[in-house]
Amino acid sequence: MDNLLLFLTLLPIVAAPLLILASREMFAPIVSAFVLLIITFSLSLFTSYESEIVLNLPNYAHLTLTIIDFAVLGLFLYVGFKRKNPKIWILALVQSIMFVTLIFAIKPSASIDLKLDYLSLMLIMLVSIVGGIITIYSTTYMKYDDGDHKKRHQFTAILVAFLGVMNLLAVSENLEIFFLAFELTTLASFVLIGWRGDEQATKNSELALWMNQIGGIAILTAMIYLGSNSLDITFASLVDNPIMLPIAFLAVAALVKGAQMPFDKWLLGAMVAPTPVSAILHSSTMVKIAPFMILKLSPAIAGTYLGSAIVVFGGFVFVLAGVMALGKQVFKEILAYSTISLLGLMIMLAAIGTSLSITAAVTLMIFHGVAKAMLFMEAGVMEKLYHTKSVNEMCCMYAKAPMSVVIVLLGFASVTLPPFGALVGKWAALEAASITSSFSFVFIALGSVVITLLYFKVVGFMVAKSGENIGVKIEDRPLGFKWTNYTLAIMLAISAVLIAPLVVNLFAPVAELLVGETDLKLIGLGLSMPAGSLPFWQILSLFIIILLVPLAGIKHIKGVDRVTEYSGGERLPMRSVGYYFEPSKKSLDLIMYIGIAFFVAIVLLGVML
Amino acid sequence: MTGWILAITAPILGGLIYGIERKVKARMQRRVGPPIVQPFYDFMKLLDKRPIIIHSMHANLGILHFVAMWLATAVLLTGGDVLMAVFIHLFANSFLIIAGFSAQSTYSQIGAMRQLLAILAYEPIFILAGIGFYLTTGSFEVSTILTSDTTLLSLFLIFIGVVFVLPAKLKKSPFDIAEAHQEIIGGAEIEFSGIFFEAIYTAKWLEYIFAYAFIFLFAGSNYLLGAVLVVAVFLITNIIDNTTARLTWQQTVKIALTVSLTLAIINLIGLV
Repeated sequence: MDNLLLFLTLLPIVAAPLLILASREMFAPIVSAFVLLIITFSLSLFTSYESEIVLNLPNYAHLTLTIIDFAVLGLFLYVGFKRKNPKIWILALVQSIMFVTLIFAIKPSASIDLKLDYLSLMLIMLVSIVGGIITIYSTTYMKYDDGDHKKRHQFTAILVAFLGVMNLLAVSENLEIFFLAFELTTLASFVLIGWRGDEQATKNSELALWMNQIGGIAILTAMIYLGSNSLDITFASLVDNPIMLPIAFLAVAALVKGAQMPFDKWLLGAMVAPTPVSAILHSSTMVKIAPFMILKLSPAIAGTYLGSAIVVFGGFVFVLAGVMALGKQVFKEILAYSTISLLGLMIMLAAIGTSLSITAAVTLMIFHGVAKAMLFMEAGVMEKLYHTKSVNEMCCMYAKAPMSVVIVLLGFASVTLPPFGALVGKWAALEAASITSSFSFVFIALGSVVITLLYFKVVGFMVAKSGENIGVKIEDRPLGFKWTNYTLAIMLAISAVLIAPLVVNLFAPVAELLVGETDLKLIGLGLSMPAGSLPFWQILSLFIIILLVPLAGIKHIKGVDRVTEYSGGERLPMRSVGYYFEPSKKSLDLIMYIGIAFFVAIVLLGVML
Repeated sequence: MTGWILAITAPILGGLIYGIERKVKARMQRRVGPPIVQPFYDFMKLLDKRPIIIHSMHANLGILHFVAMWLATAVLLTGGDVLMAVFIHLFANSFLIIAGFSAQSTYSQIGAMRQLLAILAYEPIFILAGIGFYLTTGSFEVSTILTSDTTLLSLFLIFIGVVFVLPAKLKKSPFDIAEAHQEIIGGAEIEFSGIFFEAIYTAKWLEYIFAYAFIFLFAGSNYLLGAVLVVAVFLITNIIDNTTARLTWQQTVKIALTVSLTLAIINLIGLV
């Protein structure tokens, strides 16, 4: 077990520089093999997992980690000075001073360094499997990008290393190690967003760097507070013995990483990077740090004023990020906003902190991860093979690329319609919110409808077509675009029919870990919740209907005459146009100010309580 | 058992309600109106028509719309989870929306878009009503709600909210944006014809059953009250349909959402 953990965290980081050396032809196979190895490790970790594993690192490892910490902060300072960006270097300077104080003056102590519990196991699985698949995908994607193969290899290598960093973050119990992993993800987002090196990419990467450093400062504040009161700097001690101030600051760090308003801008900026970046950092893995952290803290914040503030904030983001997405035209931008929106929901559920809401949060975390990774990867496919980025150009994609349309449709349906995992998560969320009588259910009711409107207006535009299915052939695509996306699609489809056992056996144990009980039960292959149920006959009926959908697109009805559209008898040429619902500048500003107010409120609540 | 029988016969029952509605509406307009079984005559007549389609996907999606709508109704009638029924109802509507978008026809696409906006207008209140049922009866299961005391009084404002947006769901004035009668010529349904229109046509009957079954839930175990509620809401909806002019979609979304959500939130504040 310990070895597996070591492989999952260290191996990707160590192997990444070596991967670059591979020859051009062998690079993709080697990366794929390596990723499959990591996936195998994560699966065997899962199957051999019995109870929590605690690991303490030797002194030299601590020393190494601290040196890396200094190196990263030094790098931030250097970037700030070199780019003459005061926001970056001031924040980096603040972080460095705080870190020096922490290490040399306060000398905090942690009883545990690394801990593998069921929650971190879930994150490791998500990162290794979904993140791994995205990494394989990136080897094909980058072939279509500019730059020589060395640079392309470096890109994929960074993604590989990033998997290790995320796995390290998942098991860090010592806040100091967690801080390092957090800073490394900030570094990764800076490097990857700025990858293309043009003006826009540089600008956006700098934005991501200074915004995420605020999260770093928040973690440092929490650590300094704990250290100077000679308390243990671990998550576990915070949960056992809740002190609101450090918890509030950790929550702030989570919300910054989760791109909650007003920090949504850095995530939006990530769009300029190659698409695997959006897929790996900003949809399936990195932003999941936010709900992950809140979940870790949820036993301590559930039911407190701080918890309520986070619940309301999350609900607020869930609705308004959805509304903001309605006015967007670029496909990746729409995906990014819907990610922010759903992250708000997950954060809210984590902060509610009941058994059911935690199960719902984990269900959403996993299925949203799979669906968003698939959608972003498909966005990349459409961008590279069909040169479409904006929804406007996607009209009538069905005729050109039916498979792309089916995948996008599946991705969208999996977030909005039963019996897919994310919808079951949302349904459990509604019931969880009702049971705790928190008013958050109003947000869920509104937010999920907004997301539905958003997704269907996009997908509707893509299916527009004239004339019979004849000539619609399933498009061919490179191997790396094929099995990466298809695997996730198949996972989503199969999970729909097995949703009840998945939720009860796979996700509910997280709730058991955090609050000590679960009130979900299996009835056959159906799901029973405290106040509601989803019997298997309903799941199966829905699943059969879903299986018929691709058939509906392909199956040719025989013996029936074809006509052109009646269209009210008008014979005017028709061009499909997308619909946009642009919120006004004023309301966007208002949303930003409300977001800032929530951040201030969370900090104030931490200070006061 | 009764639930299953109702679920299986739902399309026929829905057709009857539709027939009654046409009669009542006609009487309100001082016309004689068609016989009550007219929808079934129409059904037969549609069978007779030469089947034509614009493309297979469009026609197939129409059939899936009907099947899924039947499933949504069945979940509600057989005592399933009320929130899940609302979600499956959305699932059913998504087929009509995609079918509407899939035709290169102005009115079809406008109609599909408006159908989405209508969902935005009515869906939240149905979800909140489901939550109201839980807060008063302790369960989301229709089977439990129907054996509990009537919730009409404690959920009165939510009930008003549901009735208020019902025209948006049943495609009636003043919120009839999805179909808009002649103005956009049936909206998403325009390109269906013959036996393929049949699916859309009967799905609409199921929509009636779904909506009025939902109204029935407010009476709880008092089935007589339930029947009275259904009849009253039926009459009110038709009077409103007959006497109001259609609003634009902007007005519909704004008015339906603000009124129904305000009512629901006030009501729920009282409950929690």
